[in-house]
Amino acid sequence: MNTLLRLISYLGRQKLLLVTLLVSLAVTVGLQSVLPLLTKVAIDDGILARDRQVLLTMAILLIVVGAGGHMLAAGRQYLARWSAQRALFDIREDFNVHLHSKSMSFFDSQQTGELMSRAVNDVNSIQFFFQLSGNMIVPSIFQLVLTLGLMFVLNWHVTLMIAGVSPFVYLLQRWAAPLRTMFRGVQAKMGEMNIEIEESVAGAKVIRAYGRESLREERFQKANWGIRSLRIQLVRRIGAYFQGIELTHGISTIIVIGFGSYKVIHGEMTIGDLVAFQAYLLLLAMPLGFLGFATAITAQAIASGERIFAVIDVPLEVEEKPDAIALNRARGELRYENVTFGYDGTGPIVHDLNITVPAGTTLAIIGRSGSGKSTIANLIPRFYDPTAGRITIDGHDLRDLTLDSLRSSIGMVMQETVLFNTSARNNISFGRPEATEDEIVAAAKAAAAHEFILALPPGYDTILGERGMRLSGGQRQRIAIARALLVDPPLLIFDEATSSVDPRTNVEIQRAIENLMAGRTTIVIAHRLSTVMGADNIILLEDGTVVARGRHHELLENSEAYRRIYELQFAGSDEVASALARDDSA
Amino acid sequence: MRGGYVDISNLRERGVAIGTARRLLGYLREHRLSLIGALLALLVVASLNLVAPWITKIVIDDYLPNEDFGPVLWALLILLATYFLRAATTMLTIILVQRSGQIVIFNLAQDLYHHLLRLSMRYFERETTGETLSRLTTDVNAVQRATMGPTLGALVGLLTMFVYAAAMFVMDWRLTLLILVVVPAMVLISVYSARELRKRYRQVQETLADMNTTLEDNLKGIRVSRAFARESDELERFARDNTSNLKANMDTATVESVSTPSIQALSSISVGLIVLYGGWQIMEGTLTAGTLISFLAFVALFHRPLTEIIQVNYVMQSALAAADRIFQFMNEPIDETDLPEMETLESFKGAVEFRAVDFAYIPGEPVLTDVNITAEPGSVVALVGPTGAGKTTIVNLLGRFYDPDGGGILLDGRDARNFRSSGIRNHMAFVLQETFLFFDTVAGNIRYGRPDASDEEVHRAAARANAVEFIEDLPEGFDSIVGNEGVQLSRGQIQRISLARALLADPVVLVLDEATSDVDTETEALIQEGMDAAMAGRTVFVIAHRLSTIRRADQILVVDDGRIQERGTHDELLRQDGLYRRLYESQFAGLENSD
Repeated sequence: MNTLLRLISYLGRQKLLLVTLLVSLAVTVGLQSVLPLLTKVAIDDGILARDRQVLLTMAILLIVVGAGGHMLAAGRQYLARWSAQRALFDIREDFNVHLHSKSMSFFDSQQTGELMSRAVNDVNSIQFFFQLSGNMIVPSIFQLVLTLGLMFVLNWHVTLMIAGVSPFVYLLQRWAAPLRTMFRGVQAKMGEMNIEIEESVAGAKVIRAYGRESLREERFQKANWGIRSLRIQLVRRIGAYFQGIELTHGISTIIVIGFGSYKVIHGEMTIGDLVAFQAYLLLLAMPLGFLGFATAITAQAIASGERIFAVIDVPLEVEEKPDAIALNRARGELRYENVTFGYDGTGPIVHDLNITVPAGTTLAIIGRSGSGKSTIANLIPRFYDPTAGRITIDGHDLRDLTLDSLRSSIGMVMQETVLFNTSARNNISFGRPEATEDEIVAAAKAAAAHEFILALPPGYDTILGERGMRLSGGQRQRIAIARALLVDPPLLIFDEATSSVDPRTNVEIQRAIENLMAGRTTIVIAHRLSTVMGADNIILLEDGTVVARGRHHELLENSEAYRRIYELQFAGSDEVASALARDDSA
Repeated sequence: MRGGYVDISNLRERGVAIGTARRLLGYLREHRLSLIGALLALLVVASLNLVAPWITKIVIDDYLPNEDFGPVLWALLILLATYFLRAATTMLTIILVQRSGQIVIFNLAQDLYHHLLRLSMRYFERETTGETLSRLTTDVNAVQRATMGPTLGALVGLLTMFVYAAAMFVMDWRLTLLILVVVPAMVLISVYSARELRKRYRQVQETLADMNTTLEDNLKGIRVSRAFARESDELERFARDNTSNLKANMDTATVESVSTPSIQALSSISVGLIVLYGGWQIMEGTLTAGTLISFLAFVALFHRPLTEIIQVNYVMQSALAAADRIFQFMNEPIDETDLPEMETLESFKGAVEFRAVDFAYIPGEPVLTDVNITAEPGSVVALVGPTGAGKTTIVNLLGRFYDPDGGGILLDGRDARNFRSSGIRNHMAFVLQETFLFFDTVAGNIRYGRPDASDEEVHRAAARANAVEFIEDLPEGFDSIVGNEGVQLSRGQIQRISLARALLADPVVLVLDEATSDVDTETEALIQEGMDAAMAGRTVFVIAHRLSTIRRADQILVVDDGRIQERGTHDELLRQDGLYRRLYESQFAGLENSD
C-alpha cells in the first residue's frame, strides 16, 4: 500500500496538471455519457412524436457533443500522457541520482546487470501503470459510476435487473487474477532463454571446440517449449476472460430488451429508453473488461516500485560533512594513523596500520593477493572509511575534506581499466573536460599512447569502451595513464597488476609510468622489479599488517619475509620469456 | 544491443519482402487446416454478430407495436443461444489460431538456434554479439507479438467490416452510405497516423537505448567517475538523455491523442447524420424505426476496427521487418567443415603436419602464408611471436574451425578435410585466452570436456588444474552456479576451470595459450603448474610466454607476419643468431643482473 501511494505521489507532483486532467476527465466522460440521452430524446420526442424541429436540434447536438467531446478527449489524452511521462521522468531521475550517491560497498554487492534490470524493466512496468492510470483506470472508474447512475435515473427497475449480473463479473475478475503470476512466469522463462542464447553466442567457440551443440540444443528446446506452453495458457485465459465479458454484455442486453420491451408494452418505458440503455451497456463494456487487468498491472507496478525504492532508500555510508573544507593544491603528504578496516560483514582486512608517505615520494606496496594492498589504496579517495583510526593528507583528516576536492587531488590507475563509450579524446580528458587539445595530446604522448591512437583510422575520435574499438590490455592502461596525467594530481595511486598483460614491458610503457610517478606522492601496488627498486619506501603486507618496511637493499639484507617474496615474484622471472612475444601494437 | 529496438527501416523496400512472405507461409503450411477452420469460424462469428441488431429491429418494428410479449421471449432465447454460440466459436478460433501461432514461433526460434550453432566460425569473427542477440531475441519477440490477441482482433474486425457492409446494404443502402461516407477520411487518418507514429516510435526507442547505454556506462565506470570527481557530469548526461526520451514520447503522444479521437469524432458525425436522415425517412414512412435503431448498433461495430488498425499497424510492421532480418540470418552460410558426408576421425595418434598453408579470414587480407609445420605425436610445439602474427590462427586451423585457403593440414598423414571437424575436435582440447564459463555448475562446466565423467574424475581434473581449493571454498562447492549471472570468479580461477575442462577431456592434442592476463604472480604460478601437468604425454601446441616452456619445447616456431621465420629448439635458435636471439637477449640481459 505504501509503495502504491508513493508511486501515485509521483503523478501528483504537478498539481495544476493533475487538477486540469481530472477536470477534463470528468467533462469528457460526462459528454460521452450524455449522448445516449440525446439519442433517446431524438427518438421519443423527435421521430416518434413527429417533431422535425426536435429531431433537427438533437441531431445537431449529437454531432456537436459527439465530435466536440471526442476532440476534447484528444486533449485529455495528451494531458494524461504528459502527466505519466513527467512522473516517469521524475522517477528515473530520482533513481539515477540516488544510485550515484551510494557508497562503493553498495556497488560491490550489486551486479550491474541487476541494477540495469531495475532501471529498465522495473521502470517499464511503472511506466505502463502511469500511462494507464490517466487513460484507463481513472476514466473507467468515472465511466462506471456515471453510467450506472444515469441508467438508474432512467429506469431503476431495469438497472437493478442488470446489476444482477454482478456475480458473473466478480467471477470473471477471479478468473483473471492468476494472470499476473502467469505474466511473470513467461518473463522468467524468457530471461532463461535469453541467457541460453547469449551464452551460445559468446561461448560459440567453446561449444564448437568441445562439440556440445546437441547438449545446448536440448537445453534450449526445453526453455523454448516451456515458454510456448505458458503462453498458450496465458492466451486462453485472457481469451476466455474477454469472452466472459462479452457474454455478460450479451446477457445484459437480453435483460434490457426483455424487461425493456415488457415495460414499453405497458407504457412504463419508451423506445428511446431502450436505445439509450443499449448504448450505456456499450459504454460499460470497456471499463468492465479492463478491470481484470487493472489489478494485474497495479500489482506489477507495486512490485517494481518496491525494487526501485529499495535502491533509493539504501543509506549512504561515506558522506560529506556539512562543514567540510576544500583541499586546495595539496603538497601530498599522506599518513595512515592506526587504521583498521574491513569490508561489510567480513573481518578486518587491515589492522592498526601506521604509514607515513612524505610528499613527492613513492611508496611501493607488495604482498600476496588478499594481504590488503588494494584495500589500502581504496581508502585514500574515501571509497570507504576506516573503521578505526584515520588517514590524513597534509595533516587534514580525509573526512574533514569535501569529496570533490579530495578526489580531484588524486589520480588513480587501477587494475581493470574502465573506458567509456566515447572518443579516445574524451576518455583521456575525463578528469578535466576543459583541457585543450594540446594538453590532451601531450598527456597521451607522455603515456606512450599517442602513436597507437594515431594508428587507428579515426585517431582521437575513435570510440572506445565496450561498444567501441577493442584495445589490448596495455593500450587501455596507457589511456588510463594519460587520463591521470592530464589531471596532474598531487597524489597518485597506481596498481601495476595489469602490467603482466603486455608480454613485453617495453621501454615506452616504462617511460610512461616513470612520467606518471615523477614529482608526485605515489602509492604503487608493485609488480615489477624496477618499480620496487626505484621506490623511496617499500612496505610488505602480510594479513593486513606491515611486516617489513624500508628500501629495497635494506630489506633484502634484513628481512627474511621480503627475500621470500622477492624470490617468488621477481627473480628467475618469466617476464623474460614473455618478452619474446614482443608487443607490436604501438 | 539496443533495448528492444526493432529497426523497421528499409529491408522491405529492398524486395526482401517476397522471400520473407514465402518463408513465413512455409511455417504456416502445416497449420493450414487450423487456419482455414479459424477463418470459417470467424465468418460464423461475424454473422452471429448480425443477429442482435436484427432481433432489435424485429422487436421494435413487429412485436412492440403489437404489444405482443410472447414472441419477444422467443427472440430473446434465440439471442441467448446466439451469444453462447458466439462465445464458443470465438474461443475455438482463439485456441486454433493461438496453438498454431505459438508452434510457429516455437519452430522459428528452434530453427534459428539450430542454425546459430552450426554457423561458420567466420560469422562470429564478423558480427557482434549484440546483433546476433537481436536476431534471436528481439526479432523473434516482434514476430511473436503479432500473433497475440489485439493484432488478430483488429484483423478480424477489418474482415468482418465487409460482412457488415453487405448486410447493411441489403437493409438500407442510403443509411449504409451515410456510414460509409466518413470511411475514406478515417482511412486517411489511419494511414497518416501509422506512418507518423512509425517514425516517432523509432525515435522513442533510440532515445531509450541511448539512455540505457549511458546508465550502463555510468554504472560500470562508477569507480572511475568517483575517483575523478566527475559524477555531476554523469548525472547531467543522464538528465539530458532522460529529457530527450521524454520529448520523443510526447511527440508520439501528439499523434496518438489526435488520431483515435478524430476517427471517433467522424463516427459521431456519421451517427448524427443517420439519426437526422433516418428520422426524417421514418416520418415520411419510408423507413421503420427498428431499421434505424439497428443501424445505430451497426455504426459502433463498423467504425471501431479503423481505430484499432493504427496501433496494430506498428506491431505488424515490426513483425514483418523482424521476419526479414530473421530470414537473412538463416541465409548465413553454415560451417562447411562439419558435413554429414565426411568421415569421422576414429583414432588419432597426434601426428600433425601443415603443408604450405595459406589462410585469410577476409579474402585479400592474408593472415598466414606458406606455413609448414611437422609435429610428432607427443611433442611440444611452442609458438612465439608478436600479437597478431598468426599464432592463434594456426591453432584455429589445427582444430579445423576453418579450412586453409591454400595447402593442407594432415592428421596422422591424412588430409583433415576428409573428416568432420566435430570428430577431429573430439581428440583435442583448447585452453585459450578468452575463457568462457556457462551458466551452470562448476562441475557442469568442467564436464564439457567429457559429459559422462564421474564426480571423481571431475574432482581429479580440478585437482590437477590447481582449482580444487578455491572451488571447495565456494558456497556450494562444485555445485555452485557460475557464468555471467552466477558466482563471480576471478580471471585466474576461470582459467583454471578451463584447464580442468581440458584435462578431463584427456585429449590427444592440447592447445594452450599461456598468456595469463590480469592475474597476480601467485595465481600465475598455480596456473603454470596446472599447465605443466596438462602438457605431459600429449601433442601440445602452446602459444608460449614462459621461459620454462620454451626451454622444454621440442620445437619453437617463431611466427611473424603470417610466416614461420625461424624454427628449432631454444639452443639451436640462439645459435642461429637471428630474430629469436635478438628478442631473447634484449629482454633477458636487462634483467639478468637484477641482484
